[in-house]
Amino acid sequence: MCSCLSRKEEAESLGNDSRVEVKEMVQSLEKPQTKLMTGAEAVATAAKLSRPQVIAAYPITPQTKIVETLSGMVARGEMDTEYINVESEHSAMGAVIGASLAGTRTFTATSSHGLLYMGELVWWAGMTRIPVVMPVVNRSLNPWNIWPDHQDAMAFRDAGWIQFYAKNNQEVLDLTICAFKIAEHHKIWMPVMVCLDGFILSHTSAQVEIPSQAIVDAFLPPFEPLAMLDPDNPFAHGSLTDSEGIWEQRMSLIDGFNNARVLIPQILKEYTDKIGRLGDYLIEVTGNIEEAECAIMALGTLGEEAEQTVEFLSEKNIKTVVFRLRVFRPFPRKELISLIKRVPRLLVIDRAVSFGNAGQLAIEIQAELFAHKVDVLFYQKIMGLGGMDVTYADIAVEVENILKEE
Amino acid sequence: MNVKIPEMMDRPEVLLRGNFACAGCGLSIAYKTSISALNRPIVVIPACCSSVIQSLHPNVAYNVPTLNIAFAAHASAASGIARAKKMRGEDTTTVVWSGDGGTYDIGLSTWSGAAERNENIIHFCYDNNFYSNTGAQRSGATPRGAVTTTTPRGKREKRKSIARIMAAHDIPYIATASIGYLRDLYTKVKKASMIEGYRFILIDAPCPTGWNSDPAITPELGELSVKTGYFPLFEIEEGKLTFSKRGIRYKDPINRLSIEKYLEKQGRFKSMTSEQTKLLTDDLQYEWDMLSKLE
Ligand SMILES: Cc1ncc(C[n+]2csc(CCOP(=O)(O)OP(=O)(O)O)c2C)c(N)n1
Ligand code: SF4
Repeated sequence: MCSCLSRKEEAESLGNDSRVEVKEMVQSLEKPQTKLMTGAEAVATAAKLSRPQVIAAYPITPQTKIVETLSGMVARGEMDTEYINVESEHSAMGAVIGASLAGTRTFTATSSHGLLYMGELVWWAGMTRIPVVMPVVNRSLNPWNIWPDHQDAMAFRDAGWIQFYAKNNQEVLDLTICAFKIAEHHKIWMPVMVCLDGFILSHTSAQVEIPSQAIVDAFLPPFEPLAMLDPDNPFAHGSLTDSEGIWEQRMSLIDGFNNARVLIPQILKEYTDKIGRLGDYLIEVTGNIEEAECAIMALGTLGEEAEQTVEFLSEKNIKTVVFRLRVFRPFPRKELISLIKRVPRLLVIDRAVSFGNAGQLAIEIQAELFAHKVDVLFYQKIMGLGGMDVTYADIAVEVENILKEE
Repeated sequence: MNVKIPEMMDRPEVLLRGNFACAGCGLSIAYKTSISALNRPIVVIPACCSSVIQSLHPNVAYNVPTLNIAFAAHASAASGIARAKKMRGEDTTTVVWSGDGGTYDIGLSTWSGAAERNENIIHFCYDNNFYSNTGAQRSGATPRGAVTTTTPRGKREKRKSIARIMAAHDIPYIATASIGYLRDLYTKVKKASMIEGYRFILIDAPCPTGWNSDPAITPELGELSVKTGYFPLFEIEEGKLTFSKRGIRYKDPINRLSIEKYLEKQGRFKSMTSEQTKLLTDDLQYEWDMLSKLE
C-alpha cells in the first residue's frame, strides 16, 4: 500500500469487507496513543497536532530530525501547512514573522548557532510580539561541537520571549502544544521558546502519550489574529517610532509578561484537565520540602537528574528536595521565594554561564533572595557545559560537600 | 503591453502628503508609480530611506499595508506573507520594496533563497547607488569614481550587476526602469503583476540629497542616466533579454549623450579624474556587452 495515505484513507481503502475493522481503526484515532519516541519526534508530533499553517525552518544538529519529520508530514499531506525551506535561520524567523502578521499560526525550530544566526529576528519577534512557537534544542556554542548545554537559549533570555525548559519527552510534547495557546492568548501575544536538551532528549527514545487530534482541537482553537496585514485595512507594522512610542511598547511588553505569569498556570491547568498529566505548576517540587536539609534547583534534564539524587541521598539518610523551574521567562519569582523560604540551604545548578559573572539562574535567584531578605544558605555550581555528563551521583557529591563544609 | 496615460492619472494615492521624503526624492516617485499599479499590495520594507519617509508612528504616509522588517529579512518576510495569504485564500500582491543596500549587499542571501524557491513576490529595488538612509556610504551599486562618505576619493571598484545575478536565478520576470520614464516603469509593473513567481524590477532612482544634485532636476537625471548609457532599460523573460523601446537606441555608443552630461550635474562625481571617467565608461560598455549576450 502507498505510504502516502493517511491512516484514515488507508482504513477506507480496505473496502467493504473489512467495515468493522475500519470503524475500529478510525475510532482508535480518537483515543490517546502511547508510543516510544525521541524528543525531536515529540516536538514534531506536537507541532502536527497544533496545526500550524506556515512552517519555515533551517536544519541544524540536533534539531534536524524535527524539520525532517515535519517536512515528511507536509509532503505526505498529513498536515495542511505551507512549509518554507528557507536558506538560513535568519530567513526562517523572517518568514514566520511575515506569515504570522499575514494571519496564520506559525512554527519554527532551531538550535545553537542557528539561534545565534537568527538573533536579530529573534529580537524582532520579541519586541514586536509575534506569537510564534519555537522549540530550541539546546546545544553548546563554538568551537564546533554538538553537545548539550543552555548557553544558546540563555543568550536570548532578555529577548522578549517566554521560555520553557522541558525535562522529558512527554513534557516536550505537552508544553509545545500549550505553547501555541499561551503565545496566541490575546492578553499575552508573544513568542514562546520550548527548550529541550540536545541528544539527552532530542535523540533519546522514551514513552510518550499522544493526545488525539480531536482533543487537541478542543483545547487549541484556530488562530485568531490580533492585527493583520490586510489591504482593506492598511496600517504599518513596526514603523519608525519616537522614544515615547518605544517606551510605551516596552511597558506593554512588561505588562504582557505579567499577564503571562497569571495566565500560564491557567492554561497548563486547562491542558491537564482536558488532556492530562502536565500539572499547572511553574516549578516542579520533588521530595519532602518540610524535611529537606538542602534544596536543589536546575533547569531541563538536569532538574530531572536531580530528582534521582533525592532518592539516592535519602538512602544515605540525607533529605533533599528539587525545585525544577519549568518556566524561566516570565521568571516565577513569587512561587520561588515561597518555596525557598521553607528550606535551610539552596544549591543552584546552571548549565550555562554569564561570562564575567556566574550562572544565569544563580544570578537571578540571588537577586530575589536579596530583594525578599530570604535567609537561606546559598550555593551555586556550574555543571554540564559542553555536554559534560552530569549524573545524580555527581549532584549528590555537591550536596554532600555542602553539608560537610558546615 | 501598452498603458494609456489616463489610466496612470487615475491611480490610487499610495504615498500621502506630509511624508518625510526630501524634495526631489527619486524613490518617492518610483514608489508612487510602482505600488499604485498593483492589485491589493502588501509591502515589506527593510531598513532604508523608505522606512523613514513613511513618517513617525502612529502616523503613516503609506496608504497600503506595510511591514517594516530587519535590513536583511525583506524577501523572507515576504515569503511568509505570500504563503500565509495563499493559505488563507486571500487575493493580495506581496511586494519587497528595498534599496540597493538591501538588495545588492546585506539582503542578497534572503532574496536569492526566495528567488530560488520562486516565491510569489514582486521585488522592487530602487537604486540610488548607495546607502542614503545612513548618510551616503558606498554600496555594491555605487559606480566607480563616485564619492561617498566611505569612499572619499571615489569608489575604486565597479558597480555590481544585480540584474545578471538575478538572471542567474532564472526567475520568470526581470525588468529595469527609470523614474525618467514613468510610463515605461508603470507598464513593466503592470506586466509583472500578471506573472506568477519571483519577479524583480530595478529602478534607477536619483537621490538629490546624497548625490548633491539639484532636487528640481531629478526626473531629468533619470532621463540622462538612460540617454548616456549609464542605466540600460531592458526586460528578461525566460532567460531572454529584450532591450526596451525607450532605451534600445543607446545600445549603440554613437547614439549616447556624453557621460559627462550626466556626471557634471552631480556633486558626487565632481572630483572624478579623467582616468576614473574612462574606467567608468569602460564598466558601462562592459555591462552593455554582457547584457547583449543574453538577448
Ligand atoms: C543589520 C543592520 N546593519 C546596518 C543597519 C544600518 N542601516 C540602515 S539603512 C542602511 C542603508 C540602506 O541602504 P539602501 O538599502 O541602499 O537604502 P537607502 O538608504 O539608500 O534608501 C544601513 C546601513 C541596519 N539597520 N541593520
Ligand atoms: S536621502 Fe535621498 S533617497 Fe533618501 S529620502 Fe532623501 S532624497 Fe530620497
